[in-house]
Amino acid sequence: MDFPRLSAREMRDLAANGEVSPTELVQASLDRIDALDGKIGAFLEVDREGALARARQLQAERVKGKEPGPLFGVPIGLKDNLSWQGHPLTCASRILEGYTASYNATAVQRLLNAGAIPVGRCNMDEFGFGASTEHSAFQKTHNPWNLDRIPGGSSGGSAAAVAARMVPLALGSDTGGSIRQPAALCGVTGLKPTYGTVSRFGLVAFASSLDQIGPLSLDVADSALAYSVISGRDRRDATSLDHPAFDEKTIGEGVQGLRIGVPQEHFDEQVHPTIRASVRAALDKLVEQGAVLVDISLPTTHLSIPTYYLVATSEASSNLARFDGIRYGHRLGAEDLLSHYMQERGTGFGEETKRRILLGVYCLSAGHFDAYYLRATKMRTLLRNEFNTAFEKVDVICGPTTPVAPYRLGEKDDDPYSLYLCDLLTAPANLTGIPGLSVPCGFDDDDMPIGMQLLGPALREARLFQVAKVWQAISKLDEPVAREVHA
Amino acid sequence: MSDKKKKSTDAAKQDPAMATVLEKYSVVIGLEVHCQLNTKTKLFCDCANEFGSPPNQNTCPVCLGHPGVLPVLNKKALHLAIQGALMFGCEIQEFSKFDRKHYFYPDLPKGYQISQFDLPFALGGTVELTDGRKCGLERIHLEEDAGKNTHQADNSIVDFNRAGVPLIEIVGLPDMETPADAHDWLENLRRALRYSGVSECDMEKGSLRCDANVSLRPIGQEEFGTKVEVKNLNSFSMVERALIYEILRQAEVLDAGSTLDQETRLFNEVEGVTKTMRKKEGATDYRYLPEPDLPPVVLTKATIGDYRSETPESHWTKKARFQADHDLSDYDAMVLTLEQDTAEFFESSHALMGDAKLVANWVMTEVLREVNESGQKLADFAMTPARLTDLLGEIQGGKVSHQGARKVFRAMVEKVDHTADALIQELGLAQISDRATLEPLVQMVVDNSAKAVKDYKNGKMKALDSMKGMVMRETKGRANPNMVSDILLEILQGLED
Amino acid sequence: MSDRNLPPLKHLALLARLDISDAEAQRLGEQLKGILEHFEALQAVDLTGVEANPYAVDIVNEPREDGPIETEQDLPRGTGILERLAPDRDGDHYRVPKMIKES
Repeated sequence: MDFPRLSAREMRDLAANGEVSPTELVQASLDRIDALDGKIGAFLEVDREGALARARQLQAERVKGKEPGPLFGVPIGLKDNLSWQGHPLTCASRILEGYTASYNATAVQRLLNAGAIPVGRCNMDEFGFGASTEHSAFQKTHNPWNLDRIPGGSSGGSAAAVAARMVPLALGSDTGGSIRQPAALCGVTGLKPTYGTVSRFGLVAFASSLDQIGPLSLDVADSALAYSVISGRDRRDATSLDHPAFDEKTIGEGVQGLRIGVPQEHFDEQVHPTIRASVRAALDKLVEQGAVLVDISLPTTHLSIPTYYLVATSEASSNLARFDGIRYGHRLGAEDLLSHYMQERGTGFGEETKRRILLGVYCLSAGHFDAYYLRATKMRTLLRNEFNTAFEKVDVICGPTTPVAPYRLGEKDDDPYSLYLCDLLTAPANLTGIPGLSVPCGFDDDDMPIGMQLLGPALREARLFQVAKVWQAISKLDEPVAREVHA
Repeated sequence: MSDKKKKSTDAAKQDPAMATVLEKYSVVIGLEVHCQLNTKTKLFCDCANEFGSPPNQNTCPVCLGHPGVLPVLNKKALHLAIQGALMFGCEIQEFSKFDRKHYFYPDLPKGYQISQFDLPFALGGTVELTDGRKCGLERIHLEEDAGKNTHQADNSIVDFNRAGVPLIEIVGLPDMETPADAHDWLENLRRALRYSGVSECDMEKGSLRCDANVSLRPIGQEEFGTKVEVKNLNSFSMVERALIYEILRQAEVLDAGSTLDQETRLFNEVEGVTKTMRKKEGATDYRYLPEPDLPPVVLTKATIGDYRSETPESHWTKKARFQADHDLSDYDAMVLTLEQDTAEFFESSHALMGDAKLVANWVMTEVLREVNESGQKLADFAMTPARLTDLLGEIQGGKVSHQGARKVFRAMVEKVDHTADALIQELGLAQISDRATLEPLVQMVVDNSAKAVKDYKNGKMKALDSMKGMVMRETKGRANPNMVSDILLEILQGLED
Repeated sequence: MSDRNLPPLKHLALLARLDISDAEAQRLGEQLKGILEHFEALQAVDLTGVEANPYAVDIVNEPREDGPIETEQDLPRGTGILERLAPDRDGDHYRVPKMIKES
């Protein structure tokens, strides 16, 4: 068994057929983690005993004749903002030290029901605030393609774990690009589904109207498989759409006649020229396969950053109000109630978190709501209308996932807003609820991965997968994993 | 000023201190109440909505605000809220939404309360006072309750059983002028909500909480005076007392030429005064945010129409109807409509027996007394309308006297499977209502009461009673007293001839 | 356009219950000012007639029955949660420091 070369589907099939046992798969995953994660730092916790015990249990059930689920025996990673019963849930923040998750997130439960085996919790930017995973309170995660570089964020741990093939599949979350951007920077596939298709119950909320859980994987088929397992209505999430789980059979074949929108704003000077060139080359190849390129304009793109940050910080400041060390968390022993709140939250939250909370509190405060949050919701309507107009002319929209390549760890410490600009191309999908899929597209002059993003109308993930599958087949980006993680 | 308003103000002026104040100032009172809804589960999770459970038993990750949880609206809570609002004639809104109201306090798990800010589900409406005056409502909205924070010597302890319990907040317009009116407003509000089964409105159990707003302005001045909010009012009479105190206090401040602080004060029950609450820095900024986890509530006109047709008859309407249809007095109609189940019991009984006055009497006295004494619900009471009217029928038929019937009633409560007739026999209370038996007895008494007969002939009516009394004693009280009187008069008249 | 000068950061920090040092207040204040300047670009957009829809999806509320929620996972109930997680407790109650009473 060549574990690093196997997709999740292949692992599952081998395990279901009995050629390989779940225990062997988990052990292989754990061995790779032992060998590589010391340098990469993708995992905050590795649950060796639990994963092996679960593998043995699945094995025993299989022997008794239980039908193997669609992810039977597959080792997976879970971003540390997904509630995993019995395990710590920190969101990479000190304020949740001492909290053990009291229930399984619905997405986690569905993966478990499908036979998947979580092996550990993946590192992230604290509460999702960041695009580099540098804002974790506990450790840095390194890009497996070059250990000096960031893996992207906030699902940097999940992306790195998959890129280094420690697991073939991991769950992340995406509020402004936090699955797609690290997927692009780590050379893996990342999906932000249509808002409302994956239950948010059990996802620690960052911005409730923007967050979605999604898979990071080695290829498109695994992405579609994972999405089919976790999607579908959940009674515990009032914002989950009355929609059945995604059906992989709805993915069409080929791109003949498919109209691909190329937004000029996604290719302007804010995006690094190498990245632009790489995506343009990919588009040319898709044209060779029969696709039709259509020039479109999404003029509000450049305003999506202030819009996004207004909405996101306002909602985040609200969602983080519950962290007060009273019902869970740690206790500092303050003498009076006010000091307790101030110290607990003052020491528990990292700097970027505090920055966002303060910004959010300000934007929501009396007299400012109309100018900020309300105005931002109108901008969202504008953006939605823009995309609707575009999708009348095209079937999918394609462009770079990120404007910049993975920079060095520590490089962007001073100016918070420059970090925010990383979300330029991804945030619009969160603001409008449409699905976005990032797939590996090429490499830059430093041999760092470049990602290409496909956007589609709401509930049209099948279309995104369709195009991505063609691209994957012709792109020959399946680099040997040995290129990563230098000694 | 209308007659009724004047009557109420005049009553207030009975108190000389208040009279002095009312000579100079117009008083404006508005009340805000929070009522817990009669649902089985909480507003946004399925924990039990149950008063008196052991601390923190009715909690789950959702109502405790654990990371990652989400609220899901309770349909019954929405239904009850709408029913309640319709009792007051509110306009139910076709579109309403939820908002987060942020503040930090240990009993508020999420650091925000899910409430309704600018688009509540009901607007307008009125509460009718007992004398018929209508007081306006501003709005009614749905929100979740907080937990209970109890202060101890060195710390505070928190019980989250109450966190997430569904509430409706009813905001009254500043429409009242006397503390007595405020008390009456609360009584009527409570009755309406109990009638519709929306809320128990029991202040002792916390299912009804009230804050009062009161301001004074010199008579003739158009602009309202400084509004003061009074909290910590745990009974209707406390509301009244607090308002009286507060009105006198405000008048004193204004008389001295000072200004009042717009503030919140707490009523201290022991001392009977209001005191400034701990001052906060400036007005509280709740940073309202439209609740992203809950889609808006959209109701069609048809749905609202269905609710309207399902709305039970209010106690106001029922009382008026009882007076008109059954020719009952104002007082009787009021007692019978104090509670929904009393009214139902009366109507069910009256459906079985035509004498409304008789039925009303017995329901108001014997039935209610037994029920109140035993503390049980009318629905569980051993005397059903059928059994009661069975007994009343025996009275009408002369089988038993009113007095005897009272004894039979108590026996019927204890022996649930016995009919009235059976118990009348068993207790030996069967009234003698047949002439053949009574005539000789009366005759005998007359024959032996020469003096009484003579007194009667001389105009002393009391002699009749004494002779009647003798017959009753002879029959151990079982003679039909009316029949005895009739026979006695006949015989005495016969003597005259 | 209303006056949108940033209030003193210590005040915002108090509203948010965040203890910050004077140095942090200084630094964060400048950063926030900078970020808010970027937000100003939104004020120039003509949004007349544009609907303000704060919801991410076009759905209406479908409330649940007044009973157990159809659930795919187990959720713990009652005092067991407190026993396992309460950072400070007094029997079956969560315990918190006392509020200072103003004299």
